[in-house]
Amino acid sequence: MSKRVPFTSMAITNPDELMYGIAPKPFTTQSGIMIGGGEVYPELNFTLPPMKVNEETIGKANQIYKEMIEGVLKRAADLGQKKVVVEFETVPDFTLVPKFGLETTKLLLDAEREAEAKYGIQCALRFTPNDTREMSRPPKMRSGQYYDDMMYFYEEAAKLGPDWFSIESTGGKEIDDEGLVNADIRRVIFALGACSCTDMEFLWGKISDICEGSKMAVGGDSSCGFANTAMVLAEKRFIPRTFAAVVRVATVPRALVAYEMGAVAPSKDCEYVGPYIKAITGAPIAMEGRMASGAHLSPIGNIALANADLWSNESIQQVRLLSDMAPVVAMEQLIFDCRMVNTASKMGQSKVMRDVLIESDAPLDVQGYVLKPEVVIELSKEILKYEDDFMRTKVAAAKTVELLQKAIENGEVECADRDAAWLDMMEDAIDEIPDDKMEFFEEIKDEIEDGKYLPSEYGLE
Amino acid sequence: MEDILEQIQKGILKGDTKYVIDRTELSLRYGISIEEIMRDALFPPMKLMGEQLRTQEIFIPEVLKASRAMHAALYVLRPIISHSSTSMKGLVVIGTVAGDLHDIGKNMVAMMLTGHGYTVVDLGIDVTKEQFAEAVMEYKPNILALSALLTTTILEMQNVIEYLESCGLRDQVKITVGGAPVTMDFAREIGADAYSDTVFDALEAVDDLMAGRMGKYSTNTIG
Ligand code: B12
Repeated sequence: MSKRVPFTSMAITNPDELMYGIAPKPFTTQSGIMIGGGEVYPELNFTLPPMKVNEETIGKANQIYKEMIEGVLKRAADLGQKKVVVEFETVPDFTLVPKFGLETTKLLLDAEREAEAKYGIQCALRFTPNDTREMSRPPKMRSGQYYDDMMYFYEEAAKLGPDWFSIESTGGKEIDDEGLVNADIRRVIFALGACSCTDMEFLWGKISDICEGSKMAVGGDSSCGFANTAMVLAEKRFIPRTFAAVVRVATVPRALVAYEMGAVAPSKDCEYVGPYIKAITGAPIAMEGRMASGAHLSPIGNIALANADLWSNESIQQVRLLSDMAPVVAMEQLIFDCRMVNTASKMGQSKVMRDVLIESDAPLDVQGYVLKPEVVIELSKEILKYEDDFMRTKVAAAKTVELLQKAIENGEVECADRDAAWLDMMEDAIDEIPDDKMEFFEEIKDEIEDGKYLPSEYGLE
Repeated sequence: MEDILEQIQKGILKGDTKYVIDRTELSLRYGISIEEIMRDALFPPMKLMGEQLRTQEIFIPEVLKASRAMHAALYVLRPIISHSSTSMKGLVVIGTVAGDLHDIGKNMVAMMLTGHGYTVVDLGIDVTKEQFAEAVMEYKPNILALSALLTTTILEMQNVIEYLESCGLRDQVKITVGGAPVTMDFAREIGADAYSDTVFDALEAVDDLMAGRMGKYSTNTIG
């Protein structure tokens, strides 16, 4: 059984050392790619075009996966890119019917080995299945058919030997969703600090156990459903950008749990708080930004690359563009970005390169501002003052509010008045939250709709 | 004295639920008709907020707060509405199709429609074609609204439409579809009646369907 080992000190304390391509604890794939060992590598993710996945169509789906992986690896080889990571992020059908997912995992691994032999390149596969537990409502986190099937899928996939495991787990999301659309920071802190972190400890304990003794390493979780949902809503101008920025940092304690439960492999691309993970744990990180604009918009396209060890496109479906199929295009774009930043390093200009990436986004948006290395280090230190997940989450939100208020006042970051006004509202709301999780639970439980979630699944009853 | 209907409007704009309930009860006691309360007190602020959201003057949480206050007023009126001939603008059944759990966009569409006088029955997420068909039989809606966010679930919309056809229910409802990967071409291909890609357009699309108009978002228009 995996045991939690809390981080109490930081792996990086000097903001200048938070740098793309370099992680204090690099991770080496089975094929020998050292991630975080000095260079940034492309991580390509692809998905199916509009189609249903079932017994009749699985053959066709696999054919598409085969075309996609062969296409992207060939493009990498043609451009002289020797080290490549591919992510298999499944759509729910592949987890719901493990047989489908396993077939495709095997196909992708075989294609990578073939490409290695054919082109003399090195490949790796990140395995990102779904968290299907939320398909039962209220979600059952620790038992039931969905849980059993997904665990079976993870176990069997581990035997096939992808390089590492990631997931966008969903514990607490059933409560968080309402918190986001209502910009209700109390509810978000409850969802993240009291529910999500507890589930992370449970789930990542299981995942670490599965990985132990297999070739598959333990990777990171993504707060996609929490922080990226907030970002997308903010970019549509549905909720304040300041709110999205605070939610972003409030997911750090959640993301950290995976690493405290044994993760060592690169964090996931859509976990934009990657720099916090790198600063605290020393693990390498994957990031997505401007090359992910085919998947969703973001205001942080450049700064996301400033600390990345893997540079990702998030996802793109197999459709034809003028030049080639979209995943091939994405691979090409990623490779050119990687070349550029790696060359800057070779020329001794990595600091300049990094700062250009940072300064071209951070002053324009609060969500970019919270990814600046100085800010990352400062807020990470505040978070590490506590070992309790709930306090970490509350403090992360409170300190981010404080820091953004100052930054806006000092003119360090642009922010519309109507967005800035929400910082004061959040400050008042956070002030009233008690430090004790159970005390807060007693306070908030009547505000949450009946049947929304099962408190017992989060150890609250 | 300030017009009581204006007071309700202000209360809704502020999201002051208690005040709105109080004023709505009082207007009933004054003998103001339900039609008047809905038309002149409940819907105008929601319409205004819809506009302000479109022009980016306010955020969704503010609209939701107002919408809760408006719903509280509707709740006060409900026992009376069901005894009178007053019907709302139309009945919409909405849901996210089977296999898909994305619901934020769908919820916004539902909220926008409710705020503009539609009665909305929300079936939630991961709704099967059978459940949609049952709802069509049970509620007899004017409009069925389908949402899907995954490239692997948008085809489920087609299944729903085909299933309704096979049950002989297709002609009883107008169908509008939406969700990020859905396009006008796709909506046409699967035989939906309208498609739109934002909450605001969704409202216009539904208004057009209700009026039997060929609007900008109708699948039958050219281009
Ligand atoms: C938030 C989000 C999630 C959240 C959802 C939270 C929730 N309660 O809904 C969570 C984390 C749960 C999630 C899960 C998954 N997601 Co997701 N998600 C997103 C994201 C980032 C934003 C969606 C959103 O809420 N947007 C904001 C709302 C307001 O916009 P909207 O939904 O488009 O709705 C608007 C319009 O479309 C329209 N509309 C919507 N519905 C309707 C209906 C009608 C009738 C009308 C007229 C209009 C209309 O009006 C709305 C308002 O303007 C998208 C990215 C994207 N590009 O969309 C990915 C995205 C859709 N997800 C994706 C994936 C892969 C997944 C997962 C499979 C991830 C995983 N590994 O597990 C799971 C699938 C779970 C499942 N079974 O459905 C992919 C889809 C890829 C594909 N093959 O299609 C996307 C595109 C991200 C990406 N590029 O990788 N996701």
